[in-house]
Amino acid sequence: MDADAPIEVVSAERLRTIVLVDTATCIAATAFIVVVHLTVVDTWWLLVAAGLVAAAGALMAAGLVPLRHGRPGTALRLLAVANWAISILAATIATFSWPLMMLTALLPAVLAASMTSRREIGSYVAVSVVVSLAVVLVGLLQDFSGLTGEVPTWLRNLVVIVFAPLLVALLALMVMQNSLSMQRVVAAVQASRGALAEHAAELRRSRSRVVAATDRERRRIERDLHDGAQQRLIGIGIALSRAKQLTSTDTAAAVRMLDELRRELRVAHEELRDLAQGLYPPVLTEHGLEAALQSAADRCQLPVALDLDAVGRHAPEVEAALYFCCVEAMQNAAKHSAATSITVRCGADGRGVWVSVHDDGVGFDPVSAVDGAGIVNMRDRLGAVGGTLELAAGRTAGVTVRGRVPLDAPPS
Amino acid sequence: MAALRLVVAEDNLLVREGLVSLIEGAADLEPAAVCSSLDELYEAVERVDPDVVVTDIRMPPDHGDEGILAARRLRTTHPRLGVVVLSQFVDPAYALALFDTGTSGRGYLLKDRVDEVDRLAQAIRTVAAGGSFIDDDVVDALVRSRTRMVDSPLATLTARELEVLAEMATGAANAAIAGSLGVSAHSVEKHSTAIFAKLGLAEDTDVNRRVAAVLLFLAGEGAIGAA
Repeated sequence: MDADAPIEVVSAERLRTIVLVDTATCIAATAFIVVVHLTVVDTWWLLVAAGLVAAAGALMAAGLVPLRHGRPGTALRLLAVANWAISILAATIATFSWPLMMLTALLPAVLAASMTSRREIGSYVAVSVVVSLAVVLVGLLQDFSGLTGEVPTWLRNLVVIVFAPLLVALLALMVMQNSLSMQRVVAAVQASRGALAEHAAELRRSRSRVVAATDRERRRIERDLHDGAQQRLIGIGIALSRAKQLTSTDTAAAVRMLDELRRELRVAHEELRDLAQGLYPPVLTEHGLEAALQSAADRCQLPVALDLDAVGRHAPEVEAALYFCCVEAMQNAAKHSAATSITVRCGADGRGVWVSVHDDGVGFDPVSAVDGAGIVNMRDRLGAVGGTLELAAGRTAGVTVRGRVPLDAPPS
Repeated sequence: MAALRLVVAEDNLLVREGLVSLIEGAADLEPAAVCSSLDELYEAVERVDPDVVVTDIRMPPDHGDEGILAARRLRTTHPRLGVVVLSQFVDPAYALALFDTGTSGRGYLLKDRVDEVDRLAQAIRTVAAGGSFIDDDVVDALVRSRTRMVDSPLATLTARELEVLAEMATGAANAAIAGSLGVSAHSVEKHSTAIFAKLGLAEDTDVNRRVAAVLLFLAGEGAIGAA
């Protein structure tokens, strides 16, 4: 969808009204000319004029078909050609009508001004100017039909006096509409610029939060490595030296020590494994959300009940967002809720993939907790893949955190 | 009895050397070739025609689950070949992926347990004989995971029955289960009958088919053949 599509919808509606009004005018003019032919001036030139006006009306009305099929440009061109043709032909046959026909020749230019591209407007204006010049020339310099001489002066004056203000009013109305629709467009642009600025500000905020969260996470990993596996490995190294000394003096003690060291090594390995899993569980990449949630439940300090529907595989960033949202919610529940158990659910429906984490703990005041670091993290993660976070919490009923990602969400 | 000929696939040099020295320590095991990537593994199997492949789960080229890929492909190309996959992943999803083309001749052993040389040797001998071997930590994780599911039928099992079920899932026969739980073989049979009745499974005395049935049940979905 291109940027000016909404404007086109508005102008298509407007164009339809103008085509109908213009066609109705042609029908009325045809009837008027026929009546004049029957009552005042019995000349066959009037019938020719009536036929031409009717043909022009039909050409304009034909534009309704492309208009309905979403091609307003074609309708506008038909309308313009019909107006220009009838201006020149009417001014040629009934020369006294040239002031009216000059106004008619201008209609397409005014109309095109609000509906087409800058280049096309130029063409419409140029043709309208040339046609109005032609109208003036054929109106003043010739009268080959002799119709002007045959029509009584009172009728000629009456036609110009009545129809000139009407055409000017129509032109004025179109100019006014142009200006109004322009103002609406400007207002819409300003509104969307405001929304964009707000969106950009939120993006900047969430980006700095992501950076801060990454740094926080790095510090935590460094601390865990330093306090855990690193210390343990140093201890193992020291104990190995001791065991080496013992081999020559007390073989049995050395063997006991080596067994002990193997256990220590296993603990170090488990710590490193848990740390690696927490960074990015490979099972999420290779087996998807359900399998990863089962493993996450296995590492949770609280008893977890699982209710996992098959959700299939999705884009890695979508799976990661939902997974880490769950893990964060489980950690929050374990740390803050004094809950005795957690229920983790996931599922997919036509609209998207969702996860939910419910605890039976003390709950919290959702208003004061909305900006808590964990919740902002979850919101940012889901927001980055076009998803949303919902919180349901009371002071007594525990907390339910729901994350949802629409299936066709483009990353924003 | 001739020694079992092995191909060892592991990309980390220290671990590979360690594995080979552990295997050389067992009289009935003989490392016939070592390699460090998936392609080298396929090539080595063609070249030395081993009895058992011992492979790391993660290897070049993609450092994903090449070991399981290899086990599945070798099932087709070398049906009689045993495969032990060494893995650092307790997540049951990996073991289930290994067994979903059949349990016979396949073993899944956690890497932090390979220093118990008897366990590794036992796994190798089991798959060489066409049996299956699953690390009990993985089975425990699988049982825990299944127990957590809302409305899990495992909730109806007694603690002892759960122990027996977990032992069955590792590929152990009744006699072995009786030994490790310190009960009589008769009592294991009774528990086994009760378990299969409670879970709505057809009882099977063939160990491979029984492992398949129990794993299938624990996995909750997917297909695990007894091939």
